[in-house]
Amino acid sequence: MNRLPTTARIAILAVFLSLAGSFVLLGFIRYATVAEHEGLAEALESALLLALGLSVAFGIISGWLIARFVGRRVEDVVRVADAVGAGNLSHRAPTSHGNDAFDHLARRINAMLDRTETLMSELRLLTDSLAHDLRSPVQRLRARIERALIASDQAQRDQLLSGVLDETDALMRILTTVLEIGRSEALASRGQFAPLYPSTLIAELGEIYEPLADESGITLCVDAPPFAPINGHRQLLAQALSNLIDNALRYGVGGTKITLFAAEDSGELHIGIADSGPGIAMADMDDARRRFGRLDSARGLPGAGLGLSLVEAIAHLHSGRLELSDNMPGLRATLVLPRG
Amino acid sequence: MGRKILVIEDDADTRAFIVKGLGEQSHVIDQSSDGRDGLFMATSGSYDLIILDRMLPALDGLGVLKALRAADVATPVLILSALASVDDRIAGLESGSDDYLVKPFAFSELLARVNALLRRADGKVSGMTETRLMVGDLDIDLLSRIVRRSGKAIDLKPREYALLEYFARNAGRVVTRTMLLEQVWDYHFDPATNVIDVHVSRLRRKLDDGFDTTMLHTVRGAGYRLAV
Repeated sequence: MNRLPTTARIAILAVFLSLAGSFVLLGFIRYATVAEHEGLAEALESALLLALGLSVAFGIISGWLIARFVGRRVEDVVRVADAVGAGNLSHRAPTSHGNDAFDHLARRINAMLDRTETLMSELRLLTDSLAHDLRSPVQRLRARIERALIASDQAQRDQLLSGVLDETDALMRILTTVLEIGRSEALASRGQFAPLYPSTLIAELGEIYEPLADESGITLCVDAPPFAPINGHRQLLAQALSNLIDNALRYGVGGTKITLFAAEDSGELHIGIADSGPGIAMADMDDARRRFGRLDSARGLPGAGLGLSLVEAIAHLHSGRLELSDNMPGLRATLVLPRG
Repeated sequence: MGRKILVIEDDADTRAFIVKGLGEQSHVIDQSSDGRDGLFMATSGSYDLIILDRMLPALDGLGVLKALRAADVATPVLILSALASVDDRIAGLESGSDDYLVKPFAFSELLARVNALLRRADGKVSGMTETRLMVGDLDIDLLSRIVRRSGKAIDLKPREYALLEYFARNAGRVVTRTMLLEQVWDYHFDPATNVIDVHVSRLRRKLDDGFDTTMLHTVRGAGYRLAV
């Protein structure tokens, strides 16, 4: 039995079931009819035998039909699995508008494949850009070391070597950020989720950054009324907010005010930073999010263009998203996190 | 005063770097290159501090730590690790270590953390609950949270007080920016800006303005130090 394909087993089961049903009926007639109605019993019996024959025939036909139907739907999924297994991640199982078990299965599998494909392309993008973008810092590092090796003056050599140290630290920071992005996108850090009060988080970040903003002549405001706790990663959310504040301080030049806010809107929590600097032009919004993407206006400033990518990855880790909008004037960066 | 420190690290260069640096601070250093030997040494010798790499041959760092704690060895442990994500760091700290430092590290950062751990262990041994910290003419009452310098009360905000208390507990020793963010704020992120410096310079203004001598010193390339 185990050697037979599933479809054949289903067909045989259908025939058995119809046979069993007919025999039960036959037995019932035998038991229920008494001797004086022999003629009736005989007629009933022959009618029943005919019905039995027919039901076996129909059983075979319907079994075959069901098996063919099931087999075809399963085949669809198998074909997709084969194609994906062979490396073509763009294949998807066909879905109808129906709502049967096969449609459910197909939709689940497609959702899984969508996620896998996104992760794979993220990963590819990340390794590609890493390989490219680490070249310039390594190049600078190499140049410094080379110059230090031939420097005759001790003071000059010391200066070059301390530059080497700074450059290495910057490289390590890039690598750590990339690692954190990768882990967040892979949703690996959800084990560390714990209930936390968004307003407390905002207030603490505000407290950390207030003196720095003040030194730069910027007023830092906190607009975060108390909300029910959310389930989240305290350290990573703090990192995300810190990146946004760093950005606001660095690129929001000319602005006079930075607001850290928390608000709730139809079951979603909005936390983020609004500045009153030059902002980002609508056309540049996508470039700003791109990993290692740096706007032309920021080329002269330090950084590797990973800040917003990490913020976005942390939003994804919390099943949320990063929204960039015009604060008129300035940039408004919001982490939109669903509750529950 | 020299202390006994055990370094368990499989990378020979890193081990030599640590041993040489700590030796220059007149500490007595023992070393081991794998987890099993290291565990044996750690349980049989009496050390003031163990520096433990996380990825080791034979028995990994967290395994060594677990076995140590199971054997009731309470020696402070500082974990060194190339596992740098926030989660790795939290897991390392939650496994019973006293501090966690990510590779590559600056020697000044390692030294500052080693000194803070040795200092903390001393406090535990004396067994007394301190109610007061004195550094030179600075006097911190830990119960009422009143800070005086040369008898003159200094008005501090709660966070400035926490910062000063941490400095005073590590008086005479270098404290790094990351240590401050971790210990005073309990955050493990890496700020891109000099956000901690501004807090320290505010504290310094309140602490040192109007006095002849500076107490809160900047140590170039390393951090800060509170000293007479």
